Amino acid sequence: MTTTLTFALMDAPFEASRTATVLRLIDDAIDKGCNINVFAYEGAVYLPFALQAPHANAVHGRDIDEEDHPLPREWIAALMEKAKRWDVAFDWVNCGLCVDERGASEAIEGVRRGSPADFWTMATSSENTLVVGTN
Amino acid sequence: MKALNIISLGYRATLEEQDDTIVWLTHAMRGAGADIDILLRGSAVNYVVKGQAVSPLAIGGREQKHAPDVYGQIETLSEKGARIYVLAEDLKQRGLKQAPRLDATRIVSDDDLPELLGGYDAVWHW
Amino acid sequence: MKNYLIVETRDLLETRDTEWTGVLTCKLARNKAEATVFLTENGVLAARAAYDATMLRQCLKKGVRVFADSFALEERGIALCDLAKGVEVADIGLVTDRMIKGATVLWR
Repeated sequence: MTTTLTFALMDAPFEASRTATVLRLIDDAIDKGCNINVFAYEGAVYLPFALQAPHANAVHGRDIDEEDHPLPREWIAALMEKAKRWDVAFDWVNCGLCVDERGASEAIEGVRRGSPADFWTMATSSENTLVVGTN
Repeated sequence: MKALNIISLGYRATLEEQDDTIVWLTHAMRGAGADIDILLRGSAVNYVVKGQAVSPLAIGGREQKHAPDVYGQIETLSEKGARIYVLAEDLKQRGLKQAPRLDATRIVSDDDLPELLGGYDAVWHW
Repeated sequence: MKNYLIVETRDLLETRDTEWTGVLTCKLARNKAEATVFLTENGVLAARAAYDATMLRQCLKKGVRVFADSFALEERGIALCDLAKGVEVADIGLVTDRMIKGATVLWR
């Protein structure tokens, strides 16, 4: 039977090391054949924000193509693709009220809008849930 | 499933959000049928202290209608049946051992944590 | 037996609240629960033998296993020979494995 793991995230992109650490963890969990649920709360609703755009880096002398800076939305899309290849489920829910107050309604495909009730549903239907809070 | 939300950081963005967002989340999940209690530690132990009040914030003339009321949020949560645990050591370190506090508060010490945490199916540290 | 994994991401000297990671894991270990600390991000700074990490020493003394994230160690230039006695190295997969096995994981 496939294990399902749920993660609750809170940090906005580019603000905390936690984001990369948790995405590494989710990546590993997919490699191990786990179904993944993510409940994005508060700033984390910006992680899959569709309008994130790459940029050049003049400090390093790299143009936009050379910089090739992976954006959080690209990492998340890549995790979704990987989950498909591994034939495991990947469900990303953005907390709706958090989306509204932040104006983060444009999310990448595969992200759905939800509420705290979804987090509870995810948690009660998973083998384990990890909350990664913010400070 | 019984869950325990541990809240360690008090007053994080509470003015902007008009709520403590984890206490709010706990309310929302309880509303959806969740059986969740909370453990307040760190600066969040101040939430149960009586007498705190926030005047609605006005910035540049734009006034806030509903200032945060974290004490009230906790009080309402307890009235809905949630257990409100507060860590004794953190109250003491902050000089709050004798401070008037919410009647529904259940004081626990670090020594009680293994049994407390062991009584929940899920423990989430926010 | 209950199984706990505390992920500590903060520098022990920068944030006094990290002391509670030690307090909690030691109490859990004393109560016969399996308690493990996984240091990652700036938490691995305390894995150096030369670091003044009272909390870690106490954990190790009480039988708490302490792991340091190999990725974070490398990121901070901490070699295996720099590690404090008793600190083990693992990758992020340790957290996944513990989650799959049903451990209660607290992220700090």
